[in-house]
Amino acid sequence: MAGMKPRVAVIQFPGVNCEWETADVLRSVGLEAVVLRWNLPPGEIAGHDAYVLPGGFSYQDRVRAGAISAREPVMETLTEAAANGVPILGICNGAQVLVEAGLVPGDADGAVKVALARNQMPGRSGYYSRWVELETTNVVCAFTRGVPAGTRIPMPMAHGEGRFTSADPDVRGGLEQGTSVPFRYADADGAARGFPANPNGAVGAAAGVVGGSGNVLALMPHPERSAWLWQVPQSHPGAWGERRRAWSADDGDMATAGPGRIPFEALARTLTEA
Amino acid sequence: MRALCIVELKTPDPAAASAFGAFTRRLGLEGTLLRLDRADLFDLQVDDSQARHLQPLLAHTTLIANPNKEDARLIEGPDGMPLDGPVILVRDREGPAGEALTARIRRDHAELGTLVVRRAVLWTPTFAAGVSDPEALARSMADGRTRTSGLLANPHADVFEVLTGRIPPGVLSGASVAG
Repeated sequence: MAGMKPRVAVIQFPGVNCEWETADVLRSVGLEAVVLRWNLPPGEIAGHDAYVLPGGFSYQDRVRAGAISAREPVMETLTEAAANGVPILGICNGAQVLVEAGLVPGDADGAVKVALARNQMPGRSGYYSRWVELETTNVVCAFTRGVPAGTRIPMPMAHGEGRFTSADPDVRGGLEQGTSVPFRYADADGAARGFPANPNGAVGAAAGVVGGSGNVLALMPHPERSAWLWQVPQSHPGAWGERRRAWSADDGDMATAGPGRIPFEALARTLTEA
Repeated sequence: MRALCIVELKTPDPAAASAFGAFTRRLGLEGTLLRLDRADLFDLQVDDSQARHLQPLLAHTTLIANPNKEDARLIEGPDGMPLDGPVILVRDREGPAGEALTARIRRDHAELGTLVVRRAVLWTPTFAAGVSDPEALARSMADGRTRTSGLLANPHADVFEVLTGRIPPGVLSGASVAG
């Protein structure tokens, strides 16, 4: 209906902790956002124009991060939506759920094709958090629509199990060659070649892996944590750091958009220009 | 000398509870799976001359088990741990975790300077009487190749093994040690 905003559902599994700020970012790009508990009747979850699985620790990461949530009935609704081309974004723990549900990379048989394995970092192990630089590629994705390949997007990562990998040689090859990777970790020269620019040892420096027909994205870093310019550290290098310092010097507007808004703006374009 | 150490929470294990709930409510095992227990399994290798220091390590440090919240069982001898039914052993594909723990113990406890620790997760299902092939059922519980099949191991991150009869000492020693 003309004039109506596209409606996006943010699914609140027990233990997630980024649902409200994710909804705020969706609203900031002109979308209607609702936070829905995961155990609502399917009829109340179905029918949205897009879905976001936010970050956090659903089911306390028990067994494996995302593994329990991926078996919940709500994922049947999302699997059906994904097959119908509805955009679905999983951020961090949400990405882990999408991977465990077989939606990323995803195919008709529903097989789990990749894992978000434990971080591999020289000289350390476990949970790790830092600002990273992402670079978009030319892989078709609902969350990069209208975004030129090579666009730099700084945002924080914070996880212990975030290394995209696969035991399937074909799928692993897709990660290595970037054919399923619309967002990759980057350093000054391009794709990140090592730690800490690639903060977890992900194959192909994959930060985000796409599924379906480009409508499903599992993204490990947190764009909602850099969606306002004031969230970017003043010490951040590069163009966004310069903008942040200038913003401070000019006593800038708190509402000024940050780099993490780019994937959400792309989603808004996908939903309104389709 | 090789030994096994089984470490379990003194309180009900929340990961086992969630996995049990997923199996019985989502994966069709209601009435078939009666109970699911989870433990950390440590495969320990140490020179015979240092073996006597293992028990004090468990009793007086929190490196392998925290006595405030966990029970640790040290199983020595060639027979390993006898089993009543199938168990599922899950470890990283890259090798059983334990490198960092091994390094820390060797650094802080010179009396165990030859110790090698390998670690995996041990799942023990209890099935209803009359289940025709418990070993096959245990295998299906582990094999998480789709979200509607198993759960305990993601084939791209983990490997699993279903054991029956006993867990032999050195069960994890065939693989290299990874962090």
